[in-house]
Amino acid sequence: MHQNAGQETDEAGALLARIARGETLALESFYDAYHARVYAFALKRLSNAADATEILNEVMHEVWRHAARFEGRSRPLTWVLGIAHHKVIDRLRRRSHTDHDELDLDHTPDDAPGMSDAMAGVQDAELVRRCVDRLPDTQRLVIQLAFYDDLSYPEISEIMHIPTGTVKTRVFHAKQVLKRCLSALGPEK
Amino acid sequence: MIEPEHPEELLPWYANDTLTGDERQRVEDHLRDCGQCRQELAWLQRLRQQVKGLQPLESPGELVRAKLLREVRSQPRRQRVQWWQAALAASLAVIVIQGAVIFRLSGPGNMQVAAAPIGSLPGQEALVRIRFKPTATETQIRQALRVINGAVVDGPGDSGVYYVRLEGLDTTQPFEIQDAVQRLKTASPVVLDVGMELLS
Repeated sequence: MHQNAGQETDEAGALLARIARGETLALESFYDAYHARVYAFALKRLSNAADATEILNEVMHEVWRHAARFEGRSRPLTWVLGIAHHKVIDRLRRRSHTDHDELDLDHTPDDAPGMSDAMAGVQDAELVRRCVDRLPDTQRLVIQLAFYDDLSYPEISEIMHIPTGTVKTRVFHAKQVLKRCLSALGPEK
Repeated sequence: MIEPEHPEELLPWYANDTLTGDERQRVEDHLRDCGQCRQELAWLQRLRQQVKGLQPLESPGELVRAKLLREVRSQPRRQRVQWWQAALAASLAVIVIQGAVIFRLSGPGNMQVAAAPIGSLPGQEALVRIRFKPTATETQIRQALRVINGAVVDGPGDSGVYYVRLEGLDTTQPFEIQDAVQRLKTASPVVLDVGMELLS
């Protein structure tokens, strides 16, 4: 698993140590390595390119100011996405959506559709995009973290400050919603 | 619906190759004999491929990069205060308070005691560090900040921490800060933890 994750972690950890000493060249390298993932993370959650751009800028400033706080107990990616997560929550609060977003129930009916329809539907990239976009915020985020960022469930738990069981539950329900959506909008419909 | 004994909750993590140890072994053992889970895994793997291709607009990489570097190069760098600096500040506090008491007891009644920095060292800023519950609304956060007449100057950063300046207080006086912290803890149900940080 994560064939290059250890090397990536070591390199990014070394960059953070240099950033903590005030080396802007290290900040540039860190930015180059992580900006796309931070931006994608924010954009998926906020659905607004301008807001996501601001979050990216704020997160990198946070890295610059507080790199010394990285203690190496998690991967640098987990650490930086954790910062992004809190920035996003703060932004959503300002939009007055927080209660709805944070308390979003991890519950959907469990009447899973037939696998053949869902399997046919998942072959269609545009269909997958439409169905992923329809997921509730919290479910879309865990799907992104699990399948775009390839994070483990303990890492997602750390980033989102939710129990590992909740991470699994959200993915489970997201999966059910996606299957229903892909079947409903699938090719043979 | 897959039956409960199938390791369905672990399959997404097997699909993204992050499962380790016993959990990974359990899934692999199960997959050998379960066509239903192999089919589920194939669906998850295809979903993962599609999600990886879903990334929308390109990151405004160069634009933000240039702005970031311009800003960090033009701003003085904040550095965390070392423990010995905090200890020195505390020691100074004791010395200055003792000196003030002695001066008051021995000096002329109408003379003022010279102000001295005892909560923070010269050139430092004392900020209150607050972490709110994730479910705290903006209204609740605003209410909490009003209790201490605080203004957010940074955050939320790592672990959702806000750094707050106490308006109208002399932050060189540690007792004023401690009093504000106590009022905040008592008055706001959405505060997870609160502390003080000296920044230079």
